[in-house]
Amino acid sequence: MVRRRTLVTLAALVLGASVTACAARYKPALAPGCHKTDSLVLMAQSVPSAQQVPCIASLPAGWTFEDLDIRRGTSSFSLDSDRAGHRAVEVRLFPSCRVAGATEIASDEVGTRRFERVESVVGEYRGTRYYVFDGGCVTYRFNFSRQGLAFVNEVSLAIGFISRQEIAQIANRKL
Amino acid sequence: MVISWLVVFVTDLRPYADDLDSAILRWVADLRSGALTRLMRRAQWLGADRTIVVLQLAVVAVALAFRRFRHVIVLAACSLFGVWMTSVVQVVVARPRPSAVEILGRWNGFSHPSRPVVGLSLTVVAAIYVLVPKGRWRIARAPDSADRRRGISPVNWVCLAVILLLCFAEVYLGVSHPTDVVLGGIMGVAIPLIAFRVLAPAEVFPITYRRQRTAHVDVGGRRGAAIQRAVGEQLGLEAESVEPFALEGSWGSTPVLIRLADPDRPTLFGKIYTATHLRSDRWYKLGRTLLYGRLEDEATFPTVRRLVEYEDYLLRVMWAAGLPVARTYGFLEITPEREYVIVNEFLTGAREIGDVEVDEAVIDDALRVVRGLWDAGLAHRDIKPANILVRDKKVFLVDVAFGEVRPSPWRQAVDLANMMVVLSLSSDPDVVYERARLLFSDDELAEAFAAARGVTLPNQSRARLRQDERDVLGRLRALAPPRPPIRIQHWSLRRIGLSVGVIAGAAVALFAFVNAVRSLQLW
Repeated sequence: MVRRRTLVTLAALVLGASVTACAARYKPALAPGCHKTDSLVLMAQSVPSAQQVPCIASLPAGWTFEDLDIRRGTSSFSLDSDRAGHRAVEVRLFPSCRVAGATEIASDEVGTRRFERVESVVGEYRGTRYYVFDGGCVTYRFNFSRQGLAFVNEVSLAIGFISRQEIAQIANRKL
Repeated sequence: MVISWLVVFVTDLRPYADDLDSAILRWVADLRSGALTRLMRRAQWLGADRTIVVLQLAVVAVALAFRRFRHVIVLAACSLFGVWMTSVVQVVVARPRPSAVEILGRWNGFSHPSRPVVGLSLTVVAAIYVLVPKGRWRIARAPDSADRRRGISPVNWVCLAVILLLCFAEVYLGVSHPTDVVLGGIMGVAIPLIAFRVLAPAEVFPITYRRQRTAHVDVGGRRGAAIQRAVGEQLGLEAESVEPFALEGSWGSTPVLIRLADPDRPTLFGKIYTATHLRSDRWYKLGRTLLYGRLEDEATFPTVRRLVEYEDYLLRVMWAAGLPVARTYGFLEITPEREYVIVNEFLTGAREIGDVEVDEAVIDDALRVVRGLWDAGLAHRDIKPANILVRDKKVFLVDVAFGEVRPSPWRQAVDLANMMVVLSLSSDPDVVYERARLLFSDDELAEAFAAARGVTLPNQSRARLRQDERDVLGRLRALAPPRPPIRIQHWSLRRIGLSVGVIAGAAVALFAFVNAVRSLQLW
């Protein structure tokens, strides 16, 4: 009995360690890069009406992918910054969103309307950016631990959009 | 399961698996109708986070009510391992939801393995192991047992139907691929199946709804056969049967009668000690240390072997001192360092002192036994009705595992007080006191009742004192010369440290439990 228990415990530990090692290695691969498909397909599936899906175009120096949460009706991912802080920006995809109180400005993404709402610029920077398009809406929730227009610009460069058709083509599947 | 993952992902067979899944999904989607879709959406509730958490908490509540702490720990470990394993595999495999059909149900995260199916299967299988007794309702395979039976019990059928319903709902609604639910089901069943069979096997930790002490183990099946074999190999005697005996009077071991095949040989009495008994002894002594400090020699035994060796040694010492204890035959090793049986002569015809008439002859003999313990420099330390047997007006002491060689005078005084309480419960305190004065001085009797406080009285004696309409202890104290009570509260750094540790541990556990319930993030 003792031998059986030892064997089972060892097997569980070896299996656990291997799978955890795999998971740690695979975590960066979960990042919804604009050319990676698994996460993007799932994000597109979470909001079937959305014609565009946010993705990570390229991460500037000091920025890292933090986590991804995808469920029916919404998806989100967040980025860390070594200067702007943990979860400095959270990007979320919705079927629609309310933009009352936000100011519309010229959009830097094709086929979208852009709105901005600044909540705090004292000591830290907090605000929300909205991109509204056919069948969906994407919000960038900024939560920088200190002020800096440079951070906002870096986020603008880091995050892009990919159309549903492009995802379907890359993944070679119907969406 | 692991092989199928490796085959699919290492050999790049994933597109073939996707094609097969898509074909099955389309075939199932052809069955869709308004009424069936509504039904399947309801069925999806079986795998919802809240359902799983509520089910698991209900199982834990029942298990705690029946003091199945080991099962609760195994269930919690399975649950945490299942959550962790599912999350990790989902990240590694990163499989999107089905795209061959329209998704009609709720979902969360990647598709493989199906989280709701893992959660429900794990909970249902664990519930069977924690709640359902082996036998008619749960047919379990017992390889070495005479009543070897195979098959699926009614409970297993019901559970299988519930899991299959959720699997079908997930596929019907297009939420999961068929391979997601199949591998999720295998994973959810395998984790508790292996864990409970290895860490809480039914042969050792049987599920029963009869009232029984937690220390008692099942003496049938493989264990019974192993004891019979050990009697033959280690004592050179042929055992015919091993059966439980007087379980209600035993707290720390499982007493058994060993009947020998030779009719001329006497029946033997055995007590099974396992690692569980050792842990019970440790918890008991920890509780006493927390409540009272270290009364005297509350050190725990490091192994079951040491516990049995000690009891065997004390039986031999008492026997050599001419005290009336059962003759020991030594002990049997069933599983090295884990399970032992101490074997004594069976005192045929002897009955517990509470069940016989206690007259002056019995009182005198019992008091002489205490005097004998004092003179031999010994203390029994657990004198209570269950440990005093009477045969033909002669008193015998049993269960000497708590005994001590060269005890303090206080400990010996407690033995005297406990014996006088037991005798008075079955007779008259005045008579007992008068007879005691023939063997003990007034000063010794005064010390005995100054020492007899709370914890020094065994639970069984305290319970009988409460049931007795007379104030037996009060009367004995009144008869003894006045003497201030002896303090039994002893504070030490160890007691303070243990108390702080236990309170902190309980607070952390409570915090973790409340957090888990509030966030409902278990599944």
